[in-house]
Amino acid sequence: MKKILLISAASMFMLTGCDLNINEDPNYPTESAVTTDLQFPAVENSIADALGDQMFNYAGFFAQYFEQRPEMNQYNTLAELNLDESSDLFNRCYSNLFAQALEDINSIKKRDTNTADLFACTVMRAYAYQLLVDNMSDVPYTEALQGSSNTMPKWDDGETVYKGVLKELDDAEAAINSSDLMTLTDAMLSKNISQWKGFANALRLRMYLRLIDGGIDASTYEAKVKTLISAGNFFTGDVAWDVYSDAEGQYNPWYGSMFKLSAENHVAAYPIVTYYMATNDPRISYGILKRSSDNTYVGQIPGAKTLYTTWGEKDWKNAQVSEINYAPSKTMPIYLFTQSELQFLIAEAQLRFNSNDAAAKTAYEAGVKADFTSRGIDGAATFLTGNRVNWDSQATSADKLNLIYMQKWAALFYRDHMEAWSEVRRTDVPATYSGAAQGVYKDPTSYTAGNMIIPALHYKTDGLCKRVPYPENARQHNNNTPAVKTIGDRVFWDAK
Amino acid sequence: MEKRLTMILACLFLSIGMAMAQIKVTGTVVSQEDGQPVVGASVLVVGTKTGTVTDVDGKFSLTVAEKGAKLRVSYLGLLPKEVTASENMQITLTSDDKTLNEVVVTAMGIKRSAKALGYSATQVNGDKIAETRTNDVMTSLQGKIAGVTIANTSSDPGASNSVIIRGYSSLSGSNQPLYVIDGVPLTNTSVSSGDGLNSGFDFGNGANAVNPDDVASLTVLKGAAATALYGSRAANGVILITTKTGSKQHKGLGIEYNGGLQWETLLRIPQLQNDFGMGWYGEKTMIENGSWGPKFDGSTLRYGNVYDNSQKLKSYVPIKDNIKDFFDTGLRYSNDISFNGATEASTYFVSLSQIHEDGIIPTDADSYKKYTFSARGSHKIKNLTFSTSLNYSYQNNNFVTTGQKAGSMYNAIMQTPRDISIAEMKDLSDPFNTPGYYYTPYGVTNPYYILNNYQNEYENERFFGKFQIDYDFLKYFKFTYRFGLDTNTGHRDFGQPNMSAIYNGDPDWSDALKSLTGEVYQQTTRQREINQDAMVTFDKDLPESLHLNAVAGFNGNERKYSYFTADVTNLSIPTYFNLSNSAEKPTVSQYSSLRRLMGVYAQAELAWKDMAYLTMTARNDWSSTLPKGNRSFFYPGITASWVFSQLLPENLKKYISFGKLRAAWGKTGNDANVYMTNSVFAQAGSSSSGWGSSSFPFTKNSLNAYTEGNVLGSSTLSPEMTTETELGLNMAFFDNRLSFDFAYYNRITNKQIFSLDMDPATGYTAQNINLGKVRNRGIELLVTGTPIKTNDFQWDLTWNFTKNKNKVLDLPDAFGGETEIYGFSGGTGLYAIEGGEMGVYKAYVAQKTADGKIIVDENGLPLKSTTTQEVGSMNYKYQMGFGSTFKYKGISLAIDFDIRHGGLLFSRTKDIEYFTGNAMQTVYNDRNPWIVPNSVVANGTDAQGNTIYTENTTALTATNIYNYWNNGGIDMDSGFLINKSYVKLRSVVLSWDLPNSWLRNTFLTGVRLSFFGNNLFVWTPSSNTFIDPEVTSFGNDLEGNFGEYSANPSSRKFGFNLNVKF
Repeated sequence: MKKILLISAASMFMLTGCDLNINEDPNYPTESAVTTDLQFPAVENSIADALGDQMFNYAGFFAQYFEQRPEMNQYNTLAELNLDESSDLFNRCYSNLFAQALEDINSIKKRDTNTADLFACTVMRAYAYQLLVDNMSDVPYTEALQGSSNTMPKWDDGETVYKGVLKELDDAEAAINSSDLMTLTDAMLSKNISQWKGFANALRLRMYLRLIDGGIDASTYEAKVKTLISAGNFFTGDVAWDVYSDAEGQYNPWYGSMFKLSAENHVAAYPIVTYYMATNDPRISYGILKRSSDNTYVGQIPGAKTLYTTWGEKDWKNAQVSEINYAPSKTMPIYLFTQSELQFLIAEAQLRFNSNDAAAKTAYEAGVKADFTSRGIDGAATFLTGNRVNWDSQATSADKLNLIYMQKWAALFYRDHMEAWSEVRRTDVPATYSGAAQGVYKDPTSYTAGNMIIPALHYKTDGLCKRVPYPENARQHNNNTPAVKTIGDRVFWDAK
Repeated sequence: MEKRLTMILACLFLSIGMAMAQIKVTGTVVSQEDGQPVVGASVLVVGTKTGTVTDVDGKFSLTVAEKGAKLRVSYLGLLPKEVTASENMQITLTSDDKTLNEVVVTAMGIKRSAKALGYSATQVNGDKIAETRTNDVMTSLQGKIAGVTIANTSSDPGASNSVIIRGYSSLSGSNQPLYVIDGVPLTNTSVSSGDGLNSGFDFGNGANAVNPDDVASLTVLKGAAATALYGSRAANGVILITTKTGSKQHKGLGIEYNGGLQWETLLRIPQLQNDFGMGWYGEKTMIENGSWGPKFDGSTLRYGNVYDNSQKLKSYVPIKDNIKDFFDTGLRYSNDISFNGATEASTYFVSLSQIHEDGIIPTDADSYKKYTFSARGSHKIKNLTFSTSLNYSYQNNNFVTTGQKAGSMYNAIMQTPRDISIAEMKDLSDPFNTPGYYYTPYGVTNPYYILNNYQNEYENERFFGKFQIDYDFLKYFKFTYRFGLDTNTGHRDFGQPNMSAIYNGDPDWSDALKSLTGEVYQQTTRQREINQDAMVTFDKDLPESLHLNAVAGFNGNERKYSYFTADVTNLSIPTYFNLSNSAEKPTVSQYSSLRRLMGVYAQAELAWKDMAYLTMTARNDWSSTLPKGNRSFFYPGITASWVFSQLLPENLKKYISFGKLRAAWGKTGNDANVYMTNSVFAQAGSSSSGWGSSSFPFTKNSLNAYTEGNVLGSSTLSPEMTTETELGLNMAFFDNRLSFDFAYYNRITNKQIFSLDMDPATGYTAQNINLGKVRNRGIELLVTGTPIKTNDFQWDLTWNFTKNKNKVLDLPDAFGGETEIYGFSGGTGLYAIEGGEMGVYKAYVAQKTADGKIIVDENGLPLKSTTTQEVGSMNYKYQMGFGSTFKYKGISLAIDFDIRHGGLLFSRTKDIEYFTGNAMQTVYNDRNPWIVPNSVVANGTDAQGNTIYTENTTALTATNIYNYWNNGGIDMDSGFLINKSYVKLRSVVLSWDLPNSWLRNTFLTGVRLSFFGNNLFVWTPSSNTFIDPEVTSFGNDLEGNFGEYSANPSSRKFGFNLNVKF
C-alpha cells in the first residue's frame, strides 16, 4: 500500500514540479536589480507630472488664466469653485507625490551613501513637500512613509513641514563630501551639484518669503534672505523637466490629457487677457488665440459662462471667447522653477529688504526678458519701455513691488500655474475686483486690467480658492486626517 | 444488414434447438409509467448466459431449456423484475424510485446513492441541459436550481455567464465555482474588459468550451462539506460535469444528430418620449445629441453640418420605433453529431459540433462561432481499465464595444434625438453619415460606422482532457491515477480606424475626431493547467450490516498563465489594422505567472442498513502563493444522514414514501492570488489627471526608470477560510407524487485576502492583508409534484425558492469598517460595510429637512447631500424558479419561469436617457415650468444659528428642467440606481418524439422534433422602463453587480431542433 502511494506520488511529481517556492513575481524586477540611478528619474518625473499636469490645470483656473469653454463642461467645477472633498481634486497628486516620489526617495536613501546624490534627493523631497503644503497646508510629515508599521500617520501643520524640510536641506548640503560627485541619472540638472545648490537656494528664497509674509519668525528669515541674495548662488537657465516629444504617449502630460480627453475645454480668462492687452504684451499670442467671431482677444469672466445670456448677451458660445492655444504645450517641458520667477523673487528681496532700487530693477528686467526668451518672443526691451511696465515710471516702491508681482503673474502663465496661484495668495496681487462679477461686464471701466474676479457662479466659498480640500484617499483610510476644511480656508503662510 | 443479423441469430437459436429440448417464449415489455413499449430491455434466463433484448415494439422472443425457467427483465431507470417464462408474456416494469435510488456523482467522481448524502447536491440530466439548445451548459439551468444564481452578463453571442452558489463571500477573489469535467478542473476565466466604463467587451468564460450535447449529467455541489475533497479551489462550490461515454448498441449504429435554427429579436429597450425633439434648453438646434428642443410641430427643419452648401432635412416629428428599427433579427444555426458504442472490453464516444450565431445588431460585428470535437474511450484488460477523454474547442467572437467612449454603438444610439432616424444613416457613402459630417460632434458618431469599421475580435483554441488508469488490485481495493490537462490559447484583436486622418478638416474633426488617431491592439494569452490525482478506494461490507467506503489520495495542480500585448496608435493607413502600420513604435508588455498546489485527502463513508450514513472528509493543501510559514492548511468535514422513513410503520408508508434528515459541517480554504507576498518595482509612469499618461521610456532622452511598487506585499498572509454548516430535510409523499427538499446553511468566510487601500502618505497606496468576515445564511427549497398522472398524460410541477442573506460581520475599524467594491470616483459606489450586506450602494441623494421636505437652491433645483448616503443593496431578497411540464404520449411541453426580487443596480442607460431628454419621465408637466413638489429653500438663520427654511416658489426654467433630470431627478445620483427585480419566461420547450411504430421499419431508432424559446418575456417593476436588469458591464463576478454602462440590449431567442438517432 505504502509503496503504491509512493510510486503514485513520484509519477505525479514527474509531470509537474513540486517546488512550491515559486512566488517571486517574474514580471517585475526585484529591489536588488533596480539600481538607484534607475529610480531617480522616476522621482523627478512623478513630481514634475503632479506639477505640470493636474496642478497646472486647476491652478490655471485658480490663478484666473483659464476658464471653461462655453459649450463644454469638463471643468465647470473648477471655474465655479464647486469643490469639496468629494471632488477628487487632489487624490492623484497626493498619491503620486507620496507613494511614488517620496517613497522612491526613501528607497534611494536606504541604499545610496553618496552625499551628493542624497542632497539632490533632499532637494526633490523639499520641493514635493512645498507643493503639498502650498496646496493643503497640513500634511503627514513626521510620521509619514512608514509603510505598514504606521498605517495612519499623523498630519503636521504646514509650518512644521516647511521648517522641517528647510532644515533637511541645510543638513544635507552641509553633509556633502566634496569628493562625492553625483552618480544618479539626472535628466533635469545633468548631475551638476552647483546647479542643485542653486535650485536649493531658489527654493529657500521662495519658502523664506512665504514664511516672512506669513508672519513667522520674519526677522530671522529676512536675514536669511539677505544672506542668500548677497551670496547669489542660484541656478542658471530654468529648472525644467524636459523629456517630452511629439508622439502619442510622449506628449507633455497636460497636453496628453487634453488630447486623450478629445475636447478643447480651455478658454482664456478675463483677467489675463485684459492685463496682456493693457500692457501691450506681445506674449498674449503665445498661449491665447483670437476669438473666431471677430478675430479679437476676449477673455471670459470667471464662472460666468452660463450667465452672459442672462446679463444681456445674445449668445455666449465658443465663438465669443478666446481659446487657449494648445499647440505650445505639446512638447513643453514642465517648469519646476523658471529663471524668470527667480529674478522676480530677487527683485522683490532687493527692493523690500535691501532697498536697492538699481539691483531690483536689474532683476525685474531680467525676469521679464528671461520669460520672453523662454517663449521665443522678441521685443522684451520695447515692451519694458511701456508706461505701465516701465520700472522708472512707477511712482513709489509699493508700485514697483506691485509691478514685480504683476509681471511675475504674467510670466508664470503657461509656465508654472501652481506657483502663480501660490504667489497670488501670498502677495494678494493681482488685487481682487471689489464688486460682483456682473459689474465687470456691466461697467468695464470699474475694473482694473488684471485684477482677480470672484467667480460669478461660485459654490463652496465666498471668494477665491485658497487651498485644495484634503484628499479623499486620506480621509477614507486615515483617521488622523484633520477636520474638513473648505476651499476658502487659507494655508498657513497666507496670513493676509 | 439489420435483417441479416437477425437471420444469423435465428439460425444460431435454431441450431441450439436441434441439440436440446427447447421451449420458445415470447413477450412484450412495457413501462408502467406511460404504457409505452420498452425498447432495448434486457431479458436474461436466470442462471444462464442466454438472453436477448427487446425490439422497437418492446417484443422479445427466446428459447428456454425447461418450463418454469425464470427470466430477469431489466432496463436502466426501471426496477428489474423476475418472471416465470411462458407464452405471450406481458411484462410491466415500474419506474425506479428516483428519490430513493438515484446515483449521484460526487467529489472526485465518486458515485454515491442520493439517499446517503449528508449535504445538498443537485444532479441534472444531460437531456434537460440540451433541450433548451443554449450555446453553453450553465445558461440552460437559469432559475432551475435552488441556491444557485445564474445570470448572463449580456445577450451578446458568446458572452459570459455568472454562476454564484449560496451568495458572494469573497470580497476580492473569484466567487465563481470550480468546474470539473470528468474529474479534471477546467480553467474558467472570463475574457472581459477591465474597463467597463470606457470600452466594455465580454468574450465569454472558460466553461463555455463545453458542448452541452456532450453532457451526460451535471452535479452542483454547494456546501463546504460537499466540496472539501477538491480543496482550496472549491470554496465557492463545484460544478461537476460527467460527459457521455459509449454504450452497447442494441439496435442501430449509435449515431445521434442534432441540428436546428434559432432566431433572436430585441427583448428590452428603454421606453422613450415622443413629444419633444432635437434641441437643448427648450430650443431647437442643429447639432445637439438630445431631445431638449420644443414640442414636435411637424415642421420641416434643416439639421446637422453643411456639406457642399446643403444640409439634411427632417420632419420635426417623433420616430417611434427608431431604436427597434435599427436592430436586426439574429440567426444561429447549429449541428451536432456523435457516435458511440461498446464491446465487452472497450467503449468509445466521438462527437463533433458547430454553432454559428449572428446576434441582433446589424452586420456580423456581434457574432460567435464555436466548434467542438471530442473523443472518449476506455479499454479494459483484466483488472486494469484505461480511459481517456480528449476535447478540443475553437471559439471566435466579435463583440460590439459598450461603455462611454468612441466605439460604443449603444452609447451613440442612446444619444440620438427622437426625430433623427438611425436606420437612415446606414449608407456610409453619404457624406452626412460619415463621422466627419455626422450631425453632432458631441462624443458620439454614426453607429453604422462603428459596426463597419471597428474591429473587436477574440479567437480561442482550447484542448482539455484526461488520461486515467483504474486498477482493481486487491479484492476490495481500487487504485486510480488520473492526468488532466487544460490548455488554452486566446488571441484578441482590436482595431480603431484613424478617423483623425480620414476626416481631417471636416466640421466634426476638431471637437470629436482629432485625437482618434487609430489604434491596433493585439494580445495573445496562453494558459495551461495540469492536474494529477492518485487515489485508492476501498469498498467492503462489514459485519453488523455495516458498509465501509473509503478513499485516500494525492492531488497535484499547476497553473501557468502568460500574455503578450502590443499596441500602436497613429495609423498610417487609416483602416489597416496591423502593428506595423504606424510611424510610431508599438508599446509592448508581457506577463507570466505560475502557481502550484499540492494536496492529500481522505474520505470514509460508513453506512448502516441503508438507513444511516456517516461521512468524514479531510484534506491538507500546500500552496505556492502563500508565504512559506502559512503554506499548509487543513480542512475537515463531517456529514450524517438518516433515512428515518425506514422506521415508519407500514400504514404510514402509504403516505410518506421517503424521509431523510441530514446534517453537514465542513471547512474549505482559499489561497491567495499569485505574487501577493512580495513588493516589487515597476517601470515608472505618472498620470495626475487620470486622462493621458506620461510614462517611461522617454525617447527624447532615451530615459528609462523604475519605481517602487505602490502595493505593499505581505509575508504573513494566511489562507481565506470558509466554514459551513448545513441542515436538510428531504421527504416524499403519496408514492412520490409530492416531494420536497429543504436546506438551511450558514457559511462564514473569514480572513479574506485583500489588497486594502491605504493613505498614500504611508508610502504605499495599498497593502495585501487578511481581513474581514462575511456570512451567508439562507434557505433553499425544492418542491416537486405530479398533480395528474394517467397512462398517457402526466403533469409535473417544480418550484424552487432561495433566500440568501449576507452580512459583513467584520471589517477593520482602522479602515473605517468599509471598503469599496466598485464605484465612480467620488460618486455612486458599491461597498462592503461592517454590519451591512455585502454590496451596499452609497450615492448622493437630495438634501432634505428633518420633516422630509426637499431643499432646493435659489434656482429651484434640489441640493445634493454633502456626502454619499447608503441607499440600498445589490442583493436579491429572494429568488424563485417555477417549472411546469406536460407530457402526453410522445409530446412534452416544459415551461420555466425565473423570478428574482429586490436589489438595485446602476443603469447608465437611464442616466444617458435623462441627460438626452429621451426618457419618457422627462416630459413631466409637459416640460412647462414647474416647482419641485414639497420643496423648501434656505432663508436666513434663526437666533440659534439654525437655517430657516421657507416654501420654495421658484419654478424650474427650461434650462433647469434639463439640469433637474440630468442630475437624476428628485433622487439625484441615487435615481440612477434601479430596482433589478424581474420575472422572466426563461424557457419554453415543446418536443415531440415520433412514435416507435412509425420508425419500426426504418433505420431510425428515435426522432425528436422540438421547438424552444429562451428569455421570451421579461417583466420588471414599472419604475424600470430602461433595461433588462440581467445585463451588466463590469465582468461576471462581484463587481459585475454594480450595473450596466451602456450595455447592449438583451434579446429573446427561439427556434427549433431536430434530434435523430440511428
